[in-house]
Amino acid sequence: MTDSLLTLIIFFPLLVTVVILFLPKDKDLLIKEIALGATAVQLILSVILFFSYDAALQPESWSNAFQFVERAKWISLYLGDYGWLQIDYFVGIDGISLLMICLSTFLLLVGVVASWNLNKNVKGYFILYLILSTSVVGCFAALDFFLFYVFFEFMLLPMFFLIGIWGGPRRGYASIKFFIYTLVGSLFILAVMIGLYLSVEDSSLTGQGQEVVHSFSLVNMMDGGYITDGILTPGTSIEFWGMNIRWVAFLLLMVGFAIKLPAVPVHTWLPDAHVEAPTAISVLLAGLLLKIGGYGFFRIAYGIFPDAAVNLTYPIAIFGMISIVYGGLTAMAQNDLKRMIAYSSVSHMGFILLGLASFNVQGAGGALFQMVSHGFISGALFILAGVIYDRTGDRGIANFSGLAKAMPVFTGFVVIFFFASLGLPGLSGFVGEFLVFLGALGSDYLPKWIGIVSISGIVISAAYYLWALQRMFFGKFWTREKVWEQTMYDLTGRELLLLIPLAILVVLLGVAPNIILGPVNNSIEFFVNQCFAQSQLYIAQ
Amino acid sequence: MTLIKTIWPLIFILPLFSGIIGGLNSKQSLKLSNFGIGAGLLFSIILVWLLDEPLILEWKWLEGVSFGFSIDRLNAMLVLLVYLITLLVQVFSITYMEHDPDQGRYTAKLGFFAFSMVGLLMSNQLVTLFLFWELVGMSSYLLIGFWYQEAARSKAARQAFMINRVADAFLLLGVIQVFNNGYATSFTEILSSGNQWDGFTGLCFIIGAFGKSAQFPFYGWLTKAMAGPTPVSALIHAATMVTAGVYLLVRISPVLIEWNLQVIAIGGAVTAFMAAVAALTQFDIKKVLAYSTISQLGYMILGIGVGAYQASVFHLWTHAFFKAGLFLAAGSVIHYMHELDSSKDAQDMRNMGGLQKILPVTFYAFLICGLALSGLPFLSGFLSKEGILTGSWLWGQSTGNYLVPVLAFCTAGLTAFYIGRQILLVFFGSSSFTQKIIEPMLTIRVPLIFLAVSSLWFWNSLNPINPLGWFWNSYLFADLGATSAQHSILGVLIGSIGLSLAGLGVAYWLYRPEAELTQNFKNSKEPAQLVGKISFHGWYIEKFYDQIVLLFSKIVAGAGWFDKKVIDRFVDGMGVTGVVMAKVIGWFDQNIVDGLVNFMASISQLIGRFVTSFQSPKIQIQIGWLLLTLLVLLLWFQFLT
Repeated sequence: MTDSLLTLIIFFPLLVTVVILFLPKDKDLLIKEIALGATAVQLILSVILFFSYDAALQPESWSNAFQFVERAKWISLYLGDYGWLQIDYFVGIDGISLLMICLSTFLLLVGVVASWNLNKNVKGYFILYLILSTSVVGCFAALDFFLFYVFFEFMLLPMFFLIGIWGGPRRGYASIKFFIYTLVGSLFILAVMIGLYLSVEDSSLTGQGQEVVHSFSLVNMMDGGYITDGILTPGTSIEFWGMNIRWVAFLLLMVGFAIKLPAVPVHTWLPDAHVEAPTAISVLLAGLLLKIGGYGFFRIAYGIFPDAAVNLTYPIAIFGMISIVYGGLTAMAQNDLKRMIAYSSVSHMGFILLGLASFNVQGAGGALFQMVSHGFISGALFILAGVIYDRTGDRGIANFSGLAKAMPVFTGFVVIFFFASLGLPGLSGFVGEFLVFLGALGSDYLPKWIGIVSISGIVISAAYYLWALQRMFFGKFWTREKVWEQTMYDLTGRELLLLIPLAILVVLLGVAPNIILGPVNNSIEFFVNQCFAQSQLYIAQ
Repeated sequence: MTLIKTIWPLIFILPLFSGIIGGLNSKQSLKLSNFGIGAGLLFSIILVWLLDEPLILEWKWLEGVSFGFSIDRLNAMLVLLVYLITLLVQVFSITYMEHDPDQGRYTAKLGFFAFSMVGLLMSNQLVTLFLFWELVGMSSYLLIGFWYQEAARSKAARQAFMINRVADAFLLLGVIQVFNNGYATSFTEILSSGNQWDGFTGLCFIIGAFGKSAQFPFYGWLTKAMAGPTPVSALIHAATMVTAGVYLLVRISPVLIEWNLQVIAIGGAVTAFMAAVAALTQFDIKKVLAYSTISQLGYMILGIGVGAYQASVFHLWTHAFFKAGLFLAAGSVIHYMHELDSSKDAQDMRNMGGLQKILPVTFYAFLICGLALSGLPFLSGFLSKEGILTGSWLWGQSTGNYLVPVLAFCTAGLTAFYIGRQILLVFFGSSSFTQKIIEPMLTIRVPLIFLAVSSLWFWNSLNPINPLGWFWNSYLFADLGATSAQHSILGVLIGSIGLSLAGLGVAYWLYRPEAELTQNFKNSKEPAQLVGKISFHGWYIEKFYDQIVLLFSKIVAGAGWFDKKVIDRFVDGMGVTGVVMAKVIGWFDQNIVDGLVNFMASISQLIGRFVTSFQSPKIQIQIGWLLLTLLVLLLWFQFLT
């Protein structure tokens, strides 16, 4: 079973989509149940994946760094002078993708429960939802750049419709903004992908025919299987705007993934998309789609261009720092609860940039942990914002006061997750930030002041969260519209079902972070060491 | 040893447990929770009694980062103190909170606080310490804002947390510095390694400690913290949490370099003096005590700076009793003021006076604890303060820097004055109330009497004037390395007794019941002259915070504006440009490109028509045209060739 476990996890929801396709349109509950079952199966499979993952593996090169590898020929084309075009269905995971997959399947299940009350075109919604589920998980497992790109692009389509059809009043604007923004980013990635393809060969296949067999395999790209005079071969003298082409390629990738992350200044699609998206889609957007940006940094930008990365740590760290501080400041300026949380995501994603830029195990581990922890915390925060919106159709911070009186349990959860997000130790948000600071201040590549300025982020995040807490939840109970007072009932059973597991996870990861970082520690160490070793090798060429 | 290993985790978990149990049962919550805290107290007494060797418990938290606790005599004693005060405060709260519908929440928060505080004291690894440090801050936030429906209180809670958070960011920076510089990361190793820290790391820790222990410039949060229920103030903001910074500095003082210690000494002395000045003119009964706490914490801090950390720990110990006693007595006053006349501000001393007859037990408790604070012999406060004053004097002699001892001695006089003033204004004079209140025996009187009696000298030292005679000295500091040799100095002894008597005397002269100031006190307004204003407003520290907040909010507004009007406008502009471009291209496509095509089409149509016109249905004409064409072609070839 473990032979095709990954494929099963990726494509099981797609299979279920086919079933739903044949169901009558009005069987809402059945469709919801099937979708719930599908994501539950996906989660169970990925739990199996987590426990059968070999944490002790200490790889020597990227070619044996991956587990659960499945590879099959997908497209083979002879292109004359350009040699063979080889695209594989090639999936496999290391510790980094393992955590991302487990996070994804968990949040996808949460998302189904969160959209349980949906009643507008249920069939279409869940078909799109399950397609999204396949493409997200596929993205994290793909080891062929082309395959990755297909999954990456394919995500846009369901997301566009999920926001554009089921979203709030300005959904049209938000969904198009999201779509175009991300598409621009993926164009950059596409350009680099083609360049890499032309420079990388699959040496295991090249020998057989006389022609060069070009490959999209990420493993070959990371292991440095370059042809002698490719465009992006290390040591190339090709320059672009006076900059080495490998640096340009790295920067293009960074911009492409930074849009997805998002980092300041390419972040403005996020608040709009979040505000308009339905609750469950916000959960996925913050919890998963942003992480694909971060994952892209790890797997593709840093994995393939470590030589450029090591030279560009300074600007990357500065962008990380700006995201942390600026994202926090703008979060404080927001009047809409969901917008505030969206900007806090921008701030928290800055830690990923800063952690990676520090180019050491603590920084990279912190960035990875931050991705997982932010997935849980922001997921919960968007569910909490959705609770208010469900009851009143409004989320303005100034439109509510003293909600703790009417909704004590709800307020309890708000306090837990606000504090988790502002980095209270003992909850998961702190661990990632702590490791990133540890990495950034201990980095050989970064000046201390970047880390020190970034630490002010923990003060800023406390400022906006506690301010929102005080304004909305404390004080005398009051709502802008009198009718809302009747509808401000406390959490329902379904909402508790969503929030309790998230709260448990947030506490568990905060108290014992090693339960997830322990198994993947070898992968992180290998990632950092390999990036470093190869950067030295490439620079020497 | 096995007994200790069994009860150690229990000591740790019991407060959390009793908090949860209490939180679930709203009616009986405090009573139920008292069993848990009481059991914890019992266990911690056993712990202090049996503990011999320090115990360490550690496990891997992250790669290269350990999580760990340890228990040695110092923190075992302090854990005992936390349990003791928590129990007294909880017992007191049974009456104090009897009309509050949210008792369950109150108990749960108290339990959470006790858990965090015990965890903080037992932390050995710095990361563990930081974790509990923050949890203590959070539980303080939750307790200050306990009456959340009053907007002012939840605002005060937030402000107190934020001021702490700023200092905590520095502490975090310091912890990270320790890791990155390769220093030992646990207190036990710090002590044994003997490596000195660099000044910057030390400074970060000092700022962190100054935040939690309410030293300049962070002391403003402690007055805001008075928004919480008064028993909470007694527990958290007088006896336990605020001493965390002192405790941390005691632990790390062996590795701090010289100028770091100077910062501590001067910071503590300046704070002690500033807060004592601020306590002189307050009207709010709790504010006087809050400033007094800040001032006493300043003493403890300066004691560490001058190397008299044993005296600091001693003062921490005695202060916990007499200050908790003062706060609980104040709580009793506030509680009954509220019951007697709820229309008046129950915390304003201008509404009080003559309460001596109405609340006799409260009065005697307040009196004894207050005199202990003022530093009269035969009371605990004298002993510990004497040690600090002696230490500062010796330090002044050896360094030639007499700023610290001078400020410390001034503070001693001011302290006696402001507490004398408070006792006189609250309990003496005439009263508008006539009925006598019998405070409940068990819940109010026992805690008060206990704390008052604990403030007598003989619990601490048989010799009432020997600061080095503390019974616990040899017990506590055997494993804390070399003890700094000290002897009491007669001049310091006389000076300190003289100053406290002088302070009390001046207070009596100015505020005795028949004095003019006392007669007019009920109608007095805030002072008009500069010194009085500075004192009344606590050196305008809140104005200073307000300026920072104002600046910060301007930055926030700027960032919000920039994001909306510049970045997003740019993005939208790109979008609009795209649409306009598309429209232009669309127009171009429709009118130029397509127009060209259409033009071509119409031309060909024209030609077609023209050509078609030749095609007449009549065969003769067609043949005629054909012949003509042939003729033209022939002629053309003829001429060409």
